[in-house]
Amino acid sequence: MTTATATALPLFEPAQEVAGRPSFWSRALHSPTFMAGAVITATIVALVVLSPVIGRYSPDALDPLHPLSGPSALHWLGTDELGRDTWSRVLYGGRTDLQVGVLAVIFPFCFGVFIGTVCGYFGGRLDTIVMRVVDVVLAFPFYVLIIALVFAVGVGTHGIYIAFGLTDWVVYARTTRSATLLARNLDWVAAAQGGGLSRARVLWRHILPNTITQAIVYSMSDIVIVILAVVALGYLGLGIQPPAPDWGSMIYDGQNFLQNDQWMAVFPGIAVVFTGIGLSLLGDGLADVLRPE
Amino acid sequence: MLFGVVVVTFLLLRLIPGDPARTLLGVHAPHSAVIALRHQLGLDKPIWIQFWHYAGGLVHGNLGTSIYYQAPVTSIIAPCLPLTATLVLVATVFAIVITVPLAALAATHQERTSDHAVRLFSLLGLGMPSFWLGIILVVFFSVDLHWFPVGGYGTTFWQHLHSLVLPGLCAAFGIVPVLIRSLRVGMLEVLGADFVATARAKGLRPWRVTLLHVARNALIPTLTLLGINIAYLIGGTVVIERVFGLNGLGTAMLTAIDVRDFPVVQGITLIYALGVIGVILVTDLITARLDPRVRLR
Amino acid sequence: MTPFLEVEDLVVEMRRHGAAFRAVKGVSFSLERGDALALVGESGCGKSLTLRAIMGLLPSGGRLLSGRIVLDGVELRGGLRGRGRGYHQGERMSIVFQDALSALNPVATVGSQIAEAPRHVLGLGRRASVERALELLHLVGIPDPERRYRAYPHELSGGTRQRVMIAIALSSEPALLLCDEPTTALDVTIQTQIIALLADLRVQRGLSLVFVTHDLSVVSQVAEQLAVMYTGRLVETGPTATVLAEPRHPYTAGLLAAALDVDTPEREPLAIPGSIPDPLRLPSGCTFHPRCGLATPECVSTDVFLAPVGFGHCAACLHSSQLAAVQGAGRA
Repeated sequence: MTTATATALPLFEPAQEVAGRPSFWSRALHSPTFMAGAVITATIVALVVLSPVIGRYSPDALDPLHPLSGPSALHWLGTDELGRDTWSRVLYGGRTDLQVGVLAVIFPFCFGVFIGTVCGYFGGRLDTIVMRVVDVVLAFPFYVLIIALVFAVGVGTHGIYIAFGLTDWVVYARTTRSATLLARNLDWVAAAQGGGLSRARVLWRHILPNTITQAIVYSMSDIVIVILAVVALGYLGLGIQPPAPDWGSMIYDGQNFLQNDQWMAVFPGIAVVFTGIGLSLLGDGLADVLRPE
Repeated sequence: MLFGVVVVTFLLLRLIPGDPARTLLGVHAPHSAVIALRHQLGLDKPIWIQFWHYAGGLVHGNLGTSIYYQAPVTSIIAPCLPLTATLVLVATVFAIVITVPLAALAATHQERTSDHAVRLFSLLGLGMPSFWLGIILVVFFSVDLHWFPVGGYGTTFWQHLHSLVLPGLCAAFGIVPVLIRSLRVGMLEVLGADFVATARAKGLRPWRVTLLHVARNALIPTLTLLGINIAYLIGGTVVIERVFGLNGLGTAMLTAIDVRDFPVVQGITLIYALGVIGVILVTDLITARLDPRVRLR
Repeated sequence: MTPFLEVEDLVVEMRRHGAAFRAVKGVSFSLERGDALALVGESGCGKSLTLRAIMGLLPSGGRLLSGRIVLDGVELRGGLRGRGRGYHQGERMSIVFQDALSALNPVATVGSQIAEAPRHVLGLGRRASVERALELLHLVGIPDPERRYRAYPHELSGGTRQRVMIAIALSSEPALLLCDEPTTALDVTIQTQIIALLADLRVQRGLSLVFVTHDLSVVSQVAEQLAVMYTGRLVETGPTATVLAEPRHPYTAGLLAAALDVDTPEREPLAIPGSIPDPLRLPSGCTFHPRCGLATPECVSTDVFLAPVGFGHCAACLHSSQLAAVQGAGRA
C-alpha cells in the first residue's frame, strides 16, 4: 500500500529556477531618488573640484572698482564689500566646506560602527558603559556641544575635526549596535558560529555587511548635518578661519551689508541648500536600493 | 545620567591642551599673572579635588565665578534664561503646528500631488541652515515689509512674543523637515495598520476613525519624536539668537567664548544639557500617560 | 434561489515598489445564506486580498480593477467609503483578521471597541451599547466580562484577543463573516475552540462564513464548500469532503500530500517541489506547470480555467481525469 501511495502521486519535476534579485547597480540605476541625488551631488562635486577652471577669479582677488555689486555680466553672482567675486568664492567655499564635511564624518563613522558592533555583539560591561556615554553625549544640544568643544580645543579646521570626532560617533554606535543585536540572533549567524568560524570572522564577513548599510545611509544625512554645523560655526566665526573662503563666514559678511546688497548673503545659503538636497536624495535613494526585500 | 553630564561638562573645558590659565590670559601675560589665575581657578589642585569642589558647588546651585565679570555665573545666566526658554517654547509650538498638518496631509494623500509637495518642501528644508533662513526672512519681512522687528526683544510681554515670531519660526525649521519625514512615515504605518481596517470595517464614519483611532495612535510616536529632536532645536537657538540680536543664553555663551570666560561657558553648557534632560523627561511622562502599553502596573 | 453572496470575476491589482501585478485574477464564487466556504492556498496566493476586496478594505497599493460583488441582491460598489450609508442598513458583513494584536486599537479598552459599532453605527445609546458589548463578550466565551471590558488588548492572551475580534465583528450585526486566517497564530487547542465557537455562531445566528486559511487540516471542521487558490486564481472548487477525498488538481493533491495525516502517521509528508513563483514573473499557461508531474506542452501554452469534473466540483486542470485515474489505481 505504501508503494502504491507513492506512485499514486506522480513524480514531480524539479522546480524552475527562481530568479534572483537584480544586482545593486541595476536597482540603483532604476531608482529615481538615487539617480536624482547622485546627479545633483556629482554636479556639485564637479563644480567644486573644477573651481579653478570655472571660477573666473581667484577667491581673494579684489576688484575695488565694483564692490557690493549685484549679479552682472562681469561678476555672475555679484561681489562682496571688498570686490571679491561671489561666484568664485562660493565655489572655493564649497571646496573647503564639502571637504571638511566629508572628512569630519570619516572618523565618527568608523569608530561608531566599530564600537557599536563590539557592544552589540559582546554586550556586557563595555556595552553598558559605552551606552551610558552615548546617552550623556546625546543629552547636550548638538550645537552647544560643538561650540563648547571648538572653544576648548581651538577654532579652525582642526578644532572642527576634533569636535565632531568626539561627538558625532554616537548615532552610528547606537544604530550599529541595534542592528548587530538583531543580527546576532539570526539563525544563520548561529550556524556560522557553530560551524567553528572564529568570532572575528563571523563579525567581519557575516554580521558587518548587514549592519553597515544603515550606517551608510545615515552617513549621508550626517554629512549634511555636519556641513550645516560647519557653516553655522563659520557664521559665528568659530569655524574655518579667513582668509579661507567658507559659506558660513560669507553669510555673516553678507548680513552686515543687507542694506546695500541683498544678494551677498543669499548665494552661499543657496549653495548649502543644494548640497543638502543632493546628499539627502542620495541617502534616500541608497536606503531604497539597499533595503532588503 | 545626570552625573555623567556633569562630568562631561567639567572635563570639557579641561580638554584645552596646555595650561588653561595661560590660554585664558594669552601668550603675552606675565608668568605671575598666570600663577595667580591658576590659583584663583583652583587649577593648581589635583583634578579630583577640583571636580569635588565643582560638584559640591553645583549641589548648592553655585556654578562658579565668571572670570570676566568677577560675579557668580548664575547671576549672569539667570536674566538670559526667560528669553531662551520662551524662544524654545515658541519654536516648539511652531514646529508642532507646521509639522502635524503637513505630515497628516501627506500621509492621507499618499502619492498624490499634496504628498509630493510636502516631501519636496521637507527636502528643501533638510539642507537649509536655519540662520540663513532667518536672514532671508528678516530681509523680507522686517526690512521690506516692516511686519516684524529686525532684532531685539522689546519691553512688554506682547513685544517679546512679537519679536520672537521670526526667530521661533527659524528655530522650528531646524527640525521641521526631519519631523515631517518621520511623522509621515509613522502616520502611514498607523493608517495601514489592521486596527484601522477593523475600525473602518465596523462602518464608523471616516472622521471618527481618523480622529479616535488614527490620531490617537499617531500622537505617541509624534511626542517621542519631538522629544528626541528638541535637543537639536535648542542647539539651533544659539545661532538664531545671534542672527536676531536676542540676549538669550546662546548670546551669553558666545560672548563668553569671545572673552574666553570658561566658567560661564561651562555653566551654560550644563544648563542647556539640563534643559534637554528635563524636556525628555516631560515627554516620557506624557507618553506614559497616553500609552496604556507603557503604564506601570 | 439567488445566492446570498455572489463574487464575479474579481481582479485585484497590487503595486509594490513601482511594479504592478494582478494578485487576484478573475476569482468567482457564490455562497448560499448560512453556508460556509473555505478559501485555501499558500501565502501570497491572493486569498487575503480576495477577502479584503469583498469587504472593500484593500490595503494601500491595492486596487480593484474589475469584478462584481453582490450581497443579498445588492451590488456593492467601490471601497468601503464609496458604498454609502445605505449599505449599512441592509445586510452587513464583517471581517476578522489573523493577528488580533495588530487588529485592535492598542490605546482603547476592548470593551469600548466592541461597544463602538452598536453605539455609532447601530445607534444604540451609551448604556445599551455597553450592555450589548458585555453580551457579546459572554457570547464568545470570555469569562468575567465586566472585568475584561476594561482590559487593553496587550493585556489579554492570544486566544482571548481573537474572541474579542470575533465579538467586534459580531457587534455590527453582520449576516456574513469574513475570516482571514483567524486561527493561524493560535495554539492547536485554542484553534479548535475558536472553530467550535464559529460553528456555534453560525447555527445560532444563521451567519454565512468565508474562511481563509492555508491549513488544510481545519477546513473540514469549518466549511462545507472548499476553494483552492494558486497565484491569484481558483484552481479547484467543490464540496469540502469531495475535494479532500478526490482532489482533481495536482496542486490540491500536493497540498494534501504535504499535510501530515493522522491516519497514516508512518507516511512522510511529501513537499511540492519548487516554490511559489514571483508574482511579477509568472509562468505561462497554467502557472503550476513548473512544479507539476503531469505537465505537458499544452499546459505551458494554454490558459486553463475551472471546468466541471463532478457534481458541484470544478478543477482548472487539463489532466484532471488522469489524476483521478492515478488516484483510483492507487486506491485499488
